[in-house]
Amino acid sequence: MSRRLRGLLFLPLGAAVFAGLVAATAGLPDFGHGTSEYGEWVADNMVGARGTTNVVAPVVFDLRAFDTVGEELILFAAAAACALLLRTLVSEEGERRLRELPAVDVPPVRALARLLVAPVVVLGAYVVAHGAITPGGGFQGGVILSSLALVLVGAGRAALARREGTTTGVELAEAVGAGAFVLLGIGGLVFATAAFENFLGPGTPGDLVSGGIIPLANVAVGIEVAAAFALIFVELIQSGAEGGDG
Amino acid sequence: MSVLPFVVAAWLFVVGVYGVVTSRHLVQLVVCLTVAQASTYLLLLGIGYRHGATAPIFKDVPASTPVVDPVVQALTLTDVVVETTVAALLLALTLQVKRRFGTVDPDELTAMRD
Repeated sequence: MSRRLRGLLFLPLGAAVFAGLVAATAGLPDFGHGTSEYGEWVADNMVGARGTTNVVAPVVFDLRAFDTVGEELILFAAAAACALLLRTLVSEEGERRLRELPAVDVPPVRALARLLVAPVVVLGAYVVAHGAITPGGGFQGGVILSSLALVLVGAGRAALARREGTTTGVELAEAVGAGAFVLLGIGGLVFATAAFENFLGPGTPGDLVSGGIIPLANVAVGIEVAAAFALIFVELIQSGAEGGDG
Repeated sequence: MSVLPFVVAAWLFVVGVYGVVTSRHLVQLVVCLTVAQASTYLLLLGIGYRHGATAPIFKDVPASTPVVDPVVQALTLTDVVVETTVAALLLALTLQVKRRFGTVDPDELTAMRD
């Protein structure tokens, strides 16, 4: 079937789906008046009950922590699958070319990337650590930290990624992060009554250490996300470099 | 117009799927899929939005301040993470397809029809 025909066939179907979706949203509360009992309850109670001033954090890492485990394991599996798919591509010929590949070496880019290393680490760690207080958290901070992999490539440190130990270290960090989060869930079973029950005291809202297991979960997720995305970036870059002419 | 954000979300979804259907390059297809997925963020955040409310962060505001729905924001976070992982995985598959079949045009991947 030609592309044109496919596009034409899609038009009535797309129009029908669009009409259906618009009709389905007609029953929603008017835009600007959205509110749910669940959301109201969370906003009213979580600051006192969990000691977090950011009330999105207790939804993600406490009330719905079991969902977040699934989400985290999706990320874990996807990073593993990327590595699996892309590594089978690297032939011996490719390995040789990869080793001979000149590192990225554009002096201004290099200088800028070197300047960025420390701020990226500090910003990432800050966002992870303050996840229970201000906007941010493990997922957001983890992604900032993972950009360190790209900064290092820009700084002419691509060779670092090719060294034997580096990817092993990143994979290890990913496993530790994912495992730590699951352990926190089991901690709820051991020290309280149910998995992912917040078994530490709430503390004072607004303090760096407040929210019970929520900051710990943020750190665990931050490590996992940073490592998973760094792994995906490095595998994609390596694979792209290896097949440079293909 | 109070339904405009929901209409835009539906439109984004349909346009994204149209891009997937008529794509001529697998990378473009992945980008179109992310456009379709972006409609879910708009829908979720649109559902939770309240006029005159602030972000659900009580760091510097009194506890009685009206805030937007924190639950849909948490759901959007999950959504974003899943979308990026799906995109990364599809891009890895695209590289694999390029290596195996020498093309990234979905129409030329005739070997897959057999």
